[in-house]
Amino acid sequence: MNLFNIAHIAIKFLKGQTSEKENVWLEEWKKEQAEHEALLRDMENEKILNRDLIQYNKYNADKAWYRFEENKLHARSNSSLLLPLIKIAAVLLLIVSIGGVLYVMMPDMIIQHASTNAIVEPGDRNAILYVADHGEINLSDSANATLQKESKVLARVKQGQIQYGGTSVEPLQMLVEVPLRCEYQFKLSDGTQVWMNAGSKVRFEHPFEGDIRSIYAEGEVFLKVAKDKDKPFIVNLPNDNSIRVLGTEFNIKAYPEEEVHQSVLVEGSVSWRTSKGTERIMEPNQLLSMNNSNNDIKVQSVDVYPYIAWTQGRFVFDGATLNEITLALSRWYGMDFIYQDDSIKELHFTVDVRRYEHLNDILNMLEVTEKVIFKIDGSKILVTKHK
Amino acid sequence: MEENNEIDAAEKFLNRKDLSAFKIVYQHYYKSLCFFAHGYLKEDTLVEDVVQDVFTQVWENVPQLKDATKLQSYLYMMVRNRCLNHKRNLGHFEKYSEQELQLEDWETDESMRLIKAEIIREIMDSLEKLPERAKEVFKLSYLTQLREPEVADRLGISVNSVKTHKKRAKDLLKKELKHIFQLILILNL
Repeated sequence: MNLFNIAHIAIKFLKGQTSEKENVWLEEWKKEQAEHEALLRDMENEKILNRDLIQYNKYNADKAWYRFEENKLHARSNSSLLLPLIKIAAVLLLIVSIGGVLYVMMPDMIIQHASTNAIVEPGDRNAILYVADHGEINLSDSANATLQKESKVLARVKQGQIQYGGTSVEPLQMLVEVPLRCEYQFKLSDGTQVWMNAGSKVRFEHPFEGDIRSIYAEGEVFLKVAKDKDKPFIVNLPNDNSIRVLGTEFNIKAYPEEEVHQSVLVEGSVSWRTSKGTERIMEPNQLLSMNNSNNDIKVQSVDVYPYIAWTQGRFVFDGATLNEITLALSRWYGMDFIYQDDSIKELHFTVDVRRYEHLNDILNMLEVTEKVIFKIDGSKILVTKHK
Repeated sequence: MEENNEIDAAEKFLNRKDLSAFKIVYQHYYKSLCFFAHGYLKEDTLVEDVVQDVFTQVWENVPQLKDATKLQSYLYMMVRNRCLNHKRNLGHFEKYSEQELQLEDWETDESMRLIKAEIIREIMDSLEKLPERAKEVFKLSYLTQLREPEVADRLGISVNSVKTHKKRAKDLLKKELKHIFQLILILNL
C-alpha cells in the first residue's frame, strides 16, 4: 500500500466514507508503527491542526501561478534573484503598534477594497551601464554586448551580466545606474559583490588603479567586499562622506534627496568618514545614521535583518514610520505617495512581505489596520486618515 | 467530482502539454507541496522557490508516465529530491525513471509529512466548497484573531449575520468531515 493510498483512505475516514474493510485496514495500519497512530491523533489535536492549517495557508497558489506564467513568457530564471545571505524564516505579518490591536493577516485572507482597483506590479531586474567613450548599454537579462578598444576586449555584457576583460587594458570609467522600479546585482573586477536597490548609482573604474579600490555610491547599495589586505576598499558617498572598508558585508542607504544617510554593518569592520574628516568606526550589527544638514552622527545596535531584507527580495520594516515605508514603496513601484495630512506620516507599522507582490496587496494589508486609506489615481496614491 | 477533474487534467497535460490542464494540477498541489517541502526546508521563500522550480521543470520536460495518477507522486518525489539535495548541497539532480517511484527508502517522518500534506489539502478543499459568505466569515474568524463585531465591521454585515454564517459553515463542515468534530470545536464555530 503506497503512501498516497494511505492518505486517500485517511481522507475518506475523515469524511466518514470508509467501508468496513477500509476501517479494519486503517486500524491495522495504526498499530503498525507508533508514528502512524501519532499522525491520526495529530489530525484531531487542536493545537497541531491549527498550526498546520496556518502553515499550509501561508502559501498562495494564485500568485505563484501568476509568477510561473510571467517567467514562462520572459524565459527568466525562476530561482531566487539574490543570494540568501542570512537564513531567517520569514513570516508574513502585519502588526500595528499604536492602538494595541493585534492582527495576523495572510495574503489570501485580504479582501479587495474598491479604492485600489488598478493593479500595480513590482519592479524588475534591470539597470543601465554607462562606459566613458563607449556610450550606454542596457543590462536587462537579454542584453549582450562587447566593449572593445582596437582589438582588445575591455568588457562584455552577457545576458545582463557584466564580465571584465584581461588585465593589460586601459582603465574604463563605468557607471551602473538602476532606475526606479528596478534592482540589479553584479560583481566588480576584484570579486566584490554589489546589490543595488531602485534609484541607485555606482561609479567605478575598471581595473582599480593604484593602492586603493574606490567606488562612488548613492541610493541603496549592499556590498560584500572581496578581501584584499594590500588594497583597502573605499566607498565615496554623496556630500563627500566616505566609508573605508576593513571587513566585508554592509548596507548603505544614501539617497541624495534624503537628509539622513545611513549604513548598517553585517560582518567585518568599516570606518565612516565625513567630509570634515571626522571618523567613526562601526562594528557588526550597528547602524550609523548621519544627518547631512547638521553633520550629526548616531550609532546604535540593531537587528540587521530589516536593513538588508531587500537583497533577499523582501520589504521588512520594524516599527518604521509610514513615511519611510511609502518612500521605499514609491521607489520600487514607481508611484508617488501624496499625504492629505502630515500626521499620518508618523504612524508606525511592522511589515514583512515579499517585494514581488502587487502593491495593491501590500496597501490592502496596511488598510486592514483601519488607520489609513490609500486611493490609487494613475501614478499617484493619495493617503488619508481612516475615519 | 473533484478528484476526477484533477486526474483528467493530469492526463491532458501529460498527453498534450495543455496549459490550462497544467494550471489545474498546479493549483491543486501547490500548497500541499509547499507544506511538504517545509518539513525539510524551514524558510518559506526557499520552499516556494523549490516548488516553483519543480513545476517549471515538469512543464518544460513533460514526464513520460504511463498513468496519469502517477503525476501526483512524481511531483512529491521531485520536491523531496530537491529538498534533500539542497540540504546535502549536492548540486545535481537525477532524472527519475518509473521504477524509482518506490517509497520504501523514505524515513517515517517524511512519509507522515506527505500524508499530512494530502490530508490538510483535502480539509482546505472542503472549506473552499463553502458558500462565499460563509467561507469569508469562516476564514476571518478562524485564520485571523478578529472577534465577531470586528468581522461584521470588516464585511459590512451585522453581527447576527456573522453568527448565522458561522453556524452554516459549522453545519456544512460537519457534513463534509464527519470525523473531525474536534475541528469544529477548535474553531469555536
